[in-house]
Amino acid sequence: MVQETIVVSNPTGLHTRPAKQVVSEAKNFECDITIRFGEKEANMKSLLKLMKLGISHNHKIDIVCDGTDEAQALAHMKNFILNLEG
Amino acid sequence: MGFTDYIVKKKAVICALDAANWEDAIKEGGKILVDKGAATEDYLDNIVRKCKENGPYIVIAPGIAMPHARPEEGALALGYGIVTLKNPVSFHDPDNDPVSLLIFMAAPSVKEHNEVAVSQIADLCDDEEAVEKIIAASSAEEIIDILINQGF
Repeated sequence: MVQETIVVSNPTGLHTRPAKQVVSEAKNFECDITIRFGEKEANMKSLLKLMKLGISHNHKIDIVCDGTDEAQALAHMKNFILNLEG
Repeated sequence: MGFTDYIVKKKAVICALDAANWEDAIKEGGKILVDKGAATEDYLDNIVRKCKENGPYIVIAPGIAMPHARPEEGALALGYGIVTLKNPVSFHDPDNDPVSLLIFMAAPSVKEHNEVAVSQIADLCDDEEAVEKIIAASSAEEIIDILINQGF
């Protein structure tokens, strides 16, 4: 299992449209990918679960990847979220 | 006021709307936000325009769309509306078509939009049993009863 903490920097946070893009990227990996936000966590491959977290601009989140391609998944998802626009 | 309280108090529900296509569903169903003073007509036009530009970003789960635009695109107050369709429509989202339930949302700030409104709606949409009952309901009153009884 690998994990990393990042701060969400796009102006609208992990709101519907960016969240949908994140979920679609996450689904390309085999491993389990979890977002932790405060005391809550969600499967990054489920849009509804991700939306329930209510992650906004400047929120600090942990990305946790667990499985065969965990290293690639963590690197890719971290970059993808940090480079979200809108 | 939370999502369910708003829907119940304002009776912000349209049951079995007869919509010809997705665009019609947004423009006709979205009048519920305009009627309650939560959004302008432009807000609905913006949702349609953005779906055409960006793809169906508002379709969030199988059968469910959450039509909304950004706060500055015509939101006047925090408001919600539940609309079920007489005949499901396609949003050109292969994973989630056809759509039978629209949950409209308007919020005047990004913070309310994201942290309050979106997460409350996601809670409801994640309850498959409640969603099935709402889609099958035959009147607005029945939908309101389902929301109250499911404890949202």
